[in-house]
Amino acid sequence: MKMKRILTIFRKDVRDAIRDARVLMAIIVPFGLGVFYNVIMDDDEPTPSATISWAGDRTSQLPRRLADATRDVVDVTLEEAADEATVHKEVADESADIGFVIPDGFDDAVVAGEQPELVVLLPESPSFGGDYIAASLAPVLRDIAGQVQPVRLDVQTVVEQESDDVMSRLGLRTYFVLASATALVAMIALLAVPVVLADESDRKTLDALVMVASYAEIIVAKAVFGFTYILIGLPLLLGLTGIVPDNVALFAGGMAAFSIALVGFGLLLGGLFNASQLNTWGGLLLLPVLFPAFVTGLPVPKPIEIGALLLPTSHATRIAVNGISGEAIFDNIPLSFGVLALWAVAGYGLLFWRLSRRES
Amino acid sequence: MIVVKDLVKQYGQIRAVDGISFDVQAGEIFGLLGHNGAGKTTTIRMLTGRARPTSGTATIAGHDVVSELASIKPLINLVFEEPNLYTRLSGRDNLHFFCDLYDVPRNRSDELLEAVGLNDAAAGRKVKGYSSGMQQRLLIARALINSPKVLFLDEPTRGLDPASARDVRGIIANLARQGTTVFLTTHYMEEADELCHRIAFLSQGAIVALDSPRELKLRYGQRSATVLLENREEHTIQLDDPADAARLEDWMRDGQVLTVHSHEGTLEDVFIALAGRAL
Repeated sequence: MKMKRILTIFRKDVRDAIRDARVLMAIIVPFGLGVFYNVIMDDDEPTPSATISWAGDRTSQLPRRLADATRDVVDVTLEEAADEATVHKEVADESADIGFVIPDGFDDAVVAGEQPELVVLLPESPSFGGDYIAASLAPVLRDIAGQVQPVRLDVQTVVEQESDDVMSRLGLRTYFVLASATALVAMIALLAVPVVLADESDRKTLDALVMVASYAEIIVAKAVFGFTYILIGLPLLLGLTGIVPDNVALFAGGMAAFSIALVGFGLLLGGLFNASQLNTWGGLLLLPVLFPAFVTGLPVPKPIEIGALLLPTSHATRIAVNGISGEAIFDNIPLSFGVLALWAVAGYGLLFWRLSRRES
Repeated sequence: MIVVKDLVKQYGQIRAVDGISFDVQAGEIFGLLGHNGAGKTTTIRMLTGRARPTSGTATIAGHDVVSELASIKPLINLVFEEPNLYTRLSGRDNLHFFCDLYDVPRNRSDELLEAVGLNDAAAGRKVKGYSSGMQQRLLIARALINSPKVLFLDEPTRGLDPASARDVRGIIANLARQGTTVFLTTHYMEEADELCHRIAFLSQGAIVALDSPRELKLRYGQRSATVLLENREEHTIQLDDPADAARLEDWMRDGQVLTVHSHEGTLEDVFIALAGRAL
């Protein structure tokens, strides 16, 4: 096997394939999905917010005291309105979650026990923030009045029991970007690589190559082509989305094993099917490989979980999740590497069997 | 240069090549003729290492085509029947790619482009814009990159217009003059007649005749002539028939003969005589 010949074929493939729309699609679609998920999803649950619109006595401490009292739970924005009508309008069009109209001398009247009238405006369907602020109103007023609270509240935060759900533990954004990364590997290995090989076979250029190179050199060159696209695409996707694996070695090892296994099957597909069959059925063949990336670790029916566990994508996802999080979310990672190795042996074994039949 | 002994290729129940034996001398143009499915391409596939013989042996320059394929590859090349070129690349890039594969300097491609009559502008264009004739020239140029000692050509002029076919035949004849051994398959009898030093007729996987075109025509062609007499009567006479010989003698003596046209057999006649139907 001559390295120079392998590199020559590899360079030609990189150059030739980049002009092929099918190969470009196989790379761009999962890449675009990853970036899209990164933009629209967030890993952390957002803090509820509330906007308080108020008008009237500008010296009143009520708005600020309410904001201080609820800050730990609600992200409060205070908006002083010009008059009562404006407060009404802002609550009605839901640009404010709650509104107050504070009469002149309100704070003094509260302290003096004169029971001044405070107009509180809530929309028909109040938001969580609006409700929370309305509920906090009474203790805050009692505080302004200088009254002693009937009880001393000791509110303690209890740590939630950690969910087994991978999506919750990783965060939505990370989970879906990771699924896109897995899809990127699968689409390069099972669409781009077979298309490149099937094209050589269809156009009979494979026969011309065989006049100078061995089948093994050609296959290795096509595999290197696939690995190169994965090696460029995967770090680029993670870099653009700002996702850095906590355990880089584990993540890289899992993705490398996954790529090796799938590229073997991609080359086998390229040897078994012509380009037109791949164009028609390639998408369908991808489905069983892709779906475990989106269900691994999620509460799915047992038969689906077992079915997914037979596929390499499940195990690649399990390794990648542990690598990204730096935690042992999934156990028995050596078994996952073993399953990927088995798939690789099966893929390359079938591929060389197919090639030996071609030579005979 | 090529020695083939009892070569057999069996695909399931079908015997594509049925125990053929022949040899090809260095610098010779050897033609393999036969119907579609006669076993021509299978023979080339075995001789170029792309199919494993079921039995028998074949050597090229003393190397076995199965066990010493790596030694044979630098010595041979093949002009395929299909225009199997990289159509998204230019003609020159196609040749550069194979120069790199054969570890030959890239400027070899310029010599070859000139030799096959593809000018600089054409060489820079993408192959998908090439005519059949241009593609065939590029295929030949590609097959010459490694200066092969043995060049196989599978139907090299199929689908070409007469002018392009004539040019391709000129290139092949030139190669043989320069010492390249040429092994070609063709459907075209005139082409084989014009180019080949020797021809093997293949029918149902077996060689049914092998000799120079002249000897084959003499052996299997009809020995006859058409005689035109002064009274404008035409007579076909058999040269081996004593009665016809006597008639010709009489006409000659009486001064009645205007013209005599001998009917030399064609390779087509030879093939029909051997295989029972035309190509």
